[in-house]
Amino acid sequence: MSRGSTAKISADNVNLGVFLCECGSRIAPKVELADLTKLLQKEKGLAHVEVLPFPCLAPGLDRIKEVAAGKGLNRLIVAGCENRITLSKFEKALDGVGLGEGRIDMVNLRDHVAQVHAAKPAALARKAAKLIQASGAWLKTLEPATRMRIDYQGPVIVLGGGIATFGAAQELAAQGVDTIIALERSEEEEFLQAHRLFPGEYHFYDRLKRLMQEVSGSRRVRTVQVGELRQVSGRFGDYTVTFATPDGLGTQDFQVGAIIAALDWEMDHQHAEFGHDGERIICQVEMHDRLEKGRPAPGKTVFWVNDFEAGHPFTAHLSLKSAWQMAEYLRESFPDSQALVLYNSNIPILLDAFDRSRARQLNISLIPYDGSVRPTIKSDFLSFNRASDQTEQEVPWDTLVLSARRIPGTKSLKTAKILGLEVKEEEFLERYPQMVRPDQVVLGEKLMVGSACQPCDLRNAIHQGRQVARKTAALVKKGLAGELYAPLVISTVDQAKCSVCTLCREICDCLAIQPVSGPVEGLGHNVPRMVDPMLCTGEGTCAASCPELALTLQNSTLAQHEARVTALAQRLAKNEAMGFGCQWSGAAAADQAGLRRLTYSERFYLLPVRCLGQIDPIVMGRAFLEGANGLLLIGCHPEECHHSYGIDHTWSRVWVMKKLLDLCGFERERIALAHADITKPDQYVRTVESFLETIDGLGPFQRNAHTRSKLKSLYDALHSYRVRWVLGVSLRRPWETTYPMHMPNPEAYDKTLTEILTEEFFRAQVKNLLREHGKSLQLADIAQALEVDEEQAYDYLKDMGYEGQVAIVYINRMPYYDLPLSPH
Amino acid sequence: MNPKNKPGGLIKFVIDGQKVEAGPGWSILETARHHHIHIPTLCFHPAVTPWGSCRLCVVETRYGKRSQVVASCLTRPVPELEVMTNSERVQNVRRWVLEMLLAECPASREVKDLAAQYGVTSTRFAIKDPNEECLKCGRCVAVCHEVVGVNALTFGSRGVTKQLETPHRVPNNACVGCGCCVSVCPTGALQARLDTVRGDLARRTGHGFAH
Repeated sequence: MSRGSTAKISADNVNLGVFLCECGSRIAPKVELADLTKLLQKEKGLAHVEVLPFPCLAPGLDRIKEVAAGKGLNRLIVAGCENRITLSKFEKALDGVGLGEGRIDMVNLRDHVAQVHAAKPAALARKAAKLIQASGAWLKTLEPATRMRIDYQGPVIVLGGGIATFGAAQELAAQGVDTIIALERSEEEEFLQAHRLFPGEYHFYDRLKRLMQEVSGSRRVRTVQVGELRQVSGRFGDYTVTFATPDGLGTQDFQVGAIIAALDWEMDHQHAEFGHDGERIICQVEMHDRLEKGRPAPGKTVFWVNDFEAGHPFTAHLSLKSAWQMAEYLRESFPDSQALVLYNSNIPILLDAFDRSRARQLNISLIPYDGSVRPTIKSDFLSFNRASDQTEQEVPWDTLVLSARRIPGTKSLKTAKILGLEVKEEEFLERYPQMVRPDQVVLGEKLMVGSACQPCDLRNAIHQGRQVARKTAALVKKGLAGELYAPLVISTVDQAKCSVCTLCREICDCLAIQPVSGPVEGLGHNVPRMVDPMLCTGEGTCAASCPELALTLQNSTLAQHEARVTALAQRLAKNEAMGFGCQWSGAAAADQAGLRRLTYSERFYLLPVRCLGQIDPIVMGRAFLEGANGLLLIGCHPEECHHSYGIDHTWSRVWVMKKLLDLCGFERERIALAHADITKPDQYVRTVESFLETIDGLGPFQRNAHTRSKLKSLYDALHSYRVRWVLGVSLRRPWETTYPMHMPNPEAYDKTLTEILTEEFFRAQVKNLLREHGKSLQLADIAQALEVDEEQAYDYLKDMGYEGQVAIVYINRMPYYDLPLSPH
Repeated sequence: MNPKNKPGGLIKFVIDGQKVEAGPGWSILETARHHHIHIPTLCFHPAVTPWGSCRLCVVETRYGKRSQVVASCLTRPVPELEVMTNSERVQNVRRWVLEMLLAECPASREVKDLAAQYGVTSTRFAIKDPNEECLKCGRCVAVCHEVVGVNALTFGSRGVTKQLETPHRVPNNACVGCGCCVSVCPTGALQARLDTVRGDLARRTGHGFAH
């Protein structure tokens, strides 16, 4: 592990400029900017420092451009306000002068320093200087990655066989995008399937027929017959989709650029508890069949929309619509029949005035009943509690038509699974994905449509198809024009380091980590080693969890994080504390505290991050090693994390850090995790004040050779594969009740974790001890130096010997321990 | 364009008797701010395109014999223009504006403070909602569209009934829950209102089903 090199700063040809904002009178008189300029000018490696009234306005931007061009700046800090709002303006304006995305950092002087502290302007200038220097270290360590263009190749494939397929294909063809539609059935069968899945939509079947004809006649659309979906690999712009051949014997591959999954639900008969027999008591599907065949049973037909009673209320309005349409059709086509629709009064009725007058004309009763009393089926009557007067009523029936049971369908679930979505049996696929930027491609509303995702009628299913196609077409056109770029901060995998533990794939909730296509030598198929840049949210929990440190978050690397905390922690006074705030909550709440003019102690230094999940435990360890006395992490509420459980991973990491601090003999309270919300800045202020009180109570670390070596061991232990692996796989969300492997309860789990940490911490200590002494040591010496029981130390050292982490040399039959002769 | 003004050159004009120079494309407001001349605003935000909804940044411009009151955030200077940021006419307009704002958002501390600076403490317009803080400046709508790149917020209705809404008046999936609208709100009205925009939890975080 090349630990030294990650922390090293490549300071060559970095030309950093700092522009300080006065922000009218919101920063200038409260922070002594003249002092701040002097403090910063003392720093080495700063090419330019200047105060501007408003760097964000046209005059300021012109001045920055002038300086940047004159002095050849390639890194820029604007110390002014929140980066979420104004950073993009700077990036756009300064792209032409070599200060593109990623090379600009902002320090929020206004809301994190000037507006919220009551201290003297000179003191605030010192605080501002520290924050700016930390940001400077971040930028100096930055190794800018080139913008990645998404090469888009191939057509769009619409798979899954849902009715939305045709809506999507029509729209794509209209937009001039080449499309493949993969069907498992012939088009006639598809059409019949639409009848079965959307019963009673008589006015729409003809339109569907015409739509299907239009699609199959289009030059842009190619229809292929396939078997079931087998595998999907690749990334946006370059997917390989594998189907079985229609006979199920071989496989067929398609190279496509984008995938749209059109998935439909399945219809099932009603449960036996409603007396469904297929003769007198039938479902809407069967009724539809009878009407199609022109053989409805004579007499009174009662449509009972029983979705609420059957436990799927979200389809009730659809069943009601079908029931009404069937009743209308029945009365129109068979004037001798009688029809009545009985529905729960909670169902929003979608009939307009025309429909109601039609109902009167055709003599169809529409009767709402009160759902609090369950209607009961008797052999000739149906009893119900009338909603209008709360009186028990009954209607006679000859044929009772119940709602059909709509289920997501095993086939749809299987397809969704192959596409990478974690599905729950029996639940619809509706999913509101974590969108963190507008052009992000997400499984869910952008890629997956149809009635299996969102209960809908036929018209809506086709409309959903059109909608998704519109979004896809926009992306495809951008891609074909070469204007589709990956965002700057995304994960990348160093395939040389990756040992295919698949941890990242488990952690990644945006489904961005994909298997590389084809087999990898010695590792087999399905090796997750590629990041889909259009799916990655750039949060970095995966990178911060990777046991091999094989994942890197571009432009926001571990080295940058380490450099930043080092720069800040080294400059902190003894009574000061630092922390990280997530841009969605912690840092946002801090911004809001400034805007709402709350006041709190200036002894707290906040470093904003995109998501707390990207704070590697190594970074936390580094902060303590370099001089922080307290570390506060402020993130979202667990249910509100914008990324893949980032806050939950941080939660695990903080508890591990507490254990390690304990092992070092320090107070566990020095690290804390807090939750914040942008709408509650006052809560943020209380969090910070209370943390500072805690740290004041503990006092600063006693820093001497002894404690320093302990903290060094803590830092080293966090690099060990075993600790990182355990930390990654054992993600516990606070409310989880099951525990992995043989561990039956939280206590047993925690014990195992403690044992592992104790051992790894010991190992790190031994290595540091041997390195410090530079000669072999005996068991007794080691045990004494590390204050460990000799027997325990012997066990640990024996294992280290087996693993080759220490060399054991026997001199006069006495074992001596030494560092192994390293091959590096 | 005035023939005296060379394209791309600096535009020399006067703000409150102070000679200033503006670069190409600078508005009067930007130039004034660059020269430390204060002009009050509520709706102007550097990250979004100005659209002059609050009308507090009005200034009086005099060119030759003609003088008019314009919104400085939207107006580009011309050479030899004379700008007065605090003339009596300007103050008069601002007092009117503030009086209207006091009726529009009587609960806003920011508006009240600003009004008090101009000696406006009461309004003769009808107060619709005494707890309203939103002045409909449009910063949140603009930031959502221009900076975040989505359209989770919009103005609904027109004229006196205009109000801040989500499209179709339902919490929507377009909202990424970033809170940028809260950060740019000049009165803090959105702080209390964000939850009506970002919708229910399951929809925002993707870990649930919103049936």
